[in-house]
Amino acid sequence: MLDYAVKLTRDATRVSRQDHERLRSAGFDDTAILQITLIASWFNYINRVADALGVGRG
Amino acid sequence: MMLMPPILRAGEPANESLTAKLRANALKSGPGTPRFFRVGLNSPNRFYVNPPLWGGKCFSMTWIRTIPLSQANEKLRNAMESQRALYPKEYATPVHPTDGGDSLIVESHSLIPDALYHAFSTFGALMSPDLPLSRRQHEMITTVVSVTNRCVY
Repeated sequence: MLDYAVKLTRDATRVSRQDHERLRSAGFDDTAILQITLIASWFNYINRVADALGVGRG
Repeated sequence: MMLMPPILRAGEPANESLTAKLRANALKSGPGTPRFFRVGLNSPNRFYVNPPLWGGKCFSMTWIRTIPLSQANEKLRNAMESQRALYPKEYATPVHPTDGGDSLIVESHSLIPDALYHAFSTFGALMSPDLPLSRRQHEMITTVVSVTNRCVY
């Protein structure tokens, strides 16, 4: 799960069907895969907003 | 979290020389040095001094103007309160609260209330206990993403 979150954060174009198969074999169903993807993506969004607007940067 | 008494009421406009002094003191404090005030630009030409601390670090608001809940019009207030209502109970208390009790990152969206509502209500929906992931899993994902991004916040 965490490997997948890091991979989509670094370069989502490198994510493949095989990554989803690995998640399925670790016990995550498609709703869980979607939830992992959306949480990781939302945090990528909010990290960029925070850094770009100076939230917490003084 | 260490809370220190404010020298000004939370949200009260500070005069500029005091604000500059507090900002300078906050910025020169070294790592681990308690910093007692957060100084942020909340509205045009005004600084506010807020008391809460997080991990002994000082946080300013943002580099753009933001509108605290205490100054929000009806649309913004509804957006802030509605998105908060979607969070599971255990997520209801912000880690970096503003004087209005919301979080810095929520307040950073305050100039566009519709974006604020939709962005944070999405997050609230994703944290639902009715979905497959546990809170521990939420936090693991958000931590590795933030570390990978080297996010300051």
